[in-house]
Amino acid sequence: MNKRAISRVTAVVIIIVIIIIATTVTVFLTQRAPTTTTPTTITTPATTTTPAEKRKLYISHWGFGWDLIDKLVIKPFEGEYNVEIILISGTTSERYTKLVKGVEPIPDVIFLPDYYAYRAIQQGLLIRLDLSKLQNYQYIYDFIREQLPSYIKDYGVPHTIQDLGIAYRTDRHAQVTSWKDLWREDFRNEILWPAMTATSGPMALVMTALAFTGDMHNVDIAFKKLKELTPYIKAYYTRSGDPQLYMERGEVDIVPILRYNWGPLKNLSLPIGIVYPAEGSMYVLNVISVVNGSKNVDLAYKFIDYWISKEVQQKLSDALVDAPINKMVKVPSGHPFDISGVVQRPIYLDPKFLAENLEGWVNKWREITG
Amino acid sequence: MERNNWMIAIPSFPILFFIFFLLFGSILFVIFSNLSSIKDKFIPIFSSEYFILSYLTTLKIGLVVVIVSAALSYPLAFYSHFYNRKLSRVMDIIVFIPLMVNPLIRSLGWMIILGKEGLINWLLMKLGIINSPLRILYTDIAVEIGLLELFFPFMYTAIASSMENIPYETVMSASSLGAGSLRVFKDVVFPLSITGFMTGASIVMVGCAAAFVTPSILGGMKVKTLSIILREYVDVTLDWDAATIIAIAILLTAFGFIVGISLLKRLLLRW
Repeated sequence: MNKRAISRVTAVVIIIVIIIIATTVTVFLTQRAPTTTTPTTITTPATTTTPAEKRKLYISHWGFGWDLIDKLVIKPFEGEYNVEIILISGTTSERYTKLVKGVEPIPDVIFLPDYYAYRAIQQGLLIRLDLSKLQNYQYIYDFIREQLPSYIKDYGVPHTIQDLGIAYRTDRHAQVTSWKDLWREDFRNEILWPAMTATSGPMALVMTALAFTGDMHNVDIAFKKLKELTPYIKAYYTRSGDPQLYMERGEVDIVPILRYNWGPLKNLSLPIGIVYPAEGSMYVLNVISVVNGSKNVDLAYKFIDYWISKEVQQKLSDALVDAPINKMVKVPSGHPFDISGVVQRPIYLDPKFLAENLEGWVNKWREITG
Repeated sequence: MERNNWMIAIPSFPILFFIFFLLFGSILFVIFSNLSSIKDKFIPIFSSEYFILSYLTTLKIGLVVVIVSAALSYPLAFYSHFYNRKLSRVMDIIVFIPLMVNPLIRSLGWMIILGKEGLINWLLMKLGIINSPLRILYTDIAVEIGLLELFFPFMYTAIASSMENIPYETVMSASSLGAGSLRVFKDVVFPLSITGFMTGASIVMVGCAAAFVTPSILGGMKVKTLSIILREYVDVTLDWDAATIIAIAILLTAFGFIVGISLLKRLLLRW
């Protein structure tokens, strides 16, 4: 019948549509490219039709603050070297996993925390650099160049520093100077502590070892001290924005923080003091590396050299994007990125030490806090 | 006219295909393609104290939310459906308002209410009921409150819509035969709407087992649920095998709960 014929045809059409959709989705999922955004151009066809062959440099970066970075660093670099920079953004673990799995497009240059860089280096994913090709390398703080072990140094160029400080309410508590002050009685139930799974978590653990035993490798004692503190810890933080959130809401009075929390905490208009522990400033670095297999190694060198130059570091520091590692950069005293306190007693947390122990630490931490 | 009109279901095929074959299938694919590396980790993870504790926490939170949301939904649905139809229509819309707010914002809102300097503590201190602030935030209770707000609408809707199927006359005849409203509820309404409760319980339980944002914010990482340790494995130790195992555990729990509840339903209906 007519109606029947129509419904059959409709069914066939729908099935064909389903098959087409299914195939497209499958193809998309199997050959999926990571989220790429082209900061330079809005539409991709426009670039493919430009007559002048522009070279493309793929940058893997977490993408945080990219609007500013694009304006301050990327645009000028693109103009100077006639290249197009394409950002591959994502969280660190996402980008690291893509790098390990070789997900296309493979970046030329990758920004990683030193701990992840170390792991990538161990897997042969990053190339060994000729540091003499980087004219600005010599301007990196002496202590960084001296403390950086060669297995990182030759593969990743530091571009910013994250050091561990202590933020506390000055109106409710007496002055804090030592890391051990976190164990003071007046801070009980007022402590926000970094989860072992946050960047600052292992740093706080090692710092505890250092403060109580003088040896940062003595983590057994650190775990004992941490266990002592556990009942008095109000919450653990994992997100970078948590310290300012908890402080603002008056939930906690003291929290070990990283450098990037300084600015937001100072903006809170609360009586918050941020101190360098007397035992020293534990720090980690974020590094820039060139990915093994990149066809733009020459450009990658130029890009890295450009990023660590005084001009760029100054701009990024002034715009509160990254704390500078170039010693020529002028940072006013009291500025959130003024790391003069770190320079006094810097203690580098070796990523190798971290990589070899982190899993065990996380498990141990779960035991004592669970 | 005993025609099998299967074609009517055709438009739903793409979504079914997408959900089952692509999303669920990809999970199964990951599991089976990595089976050799995963299978050695099953027993150590499942037997670890840490896992068992967070498993129990997840279950406990889920059950509390199921029970409390049902306890809150029933009287409301019962009253509004049988005694005040206008209210019932309004409630259908009102209960969904919390869902229109982003979970992150919603959880942060609870911080303001439950926090040390929050509304509840401020009120209790002003009234002189307590001397020092109560610790509600970063405990299981805070997580349960947050999840209750999130999942109450589902429980309410499931129960209310199953009450729609109970004819008003049934309730009327029960009352006219002398049953008080409690008795009407216990012997007539509850058994007839048990399907709704079971559906609601499944949705709420499964949702609680998989929730991440609410427990992570309101629990201050002190309340460890399965989804929180899953994220730790993915993001920190980069142990995808372990994360897969946790995902399997969540999936099995959800599945087991649904199967269990449908068995329970059959049992209850017979009785």
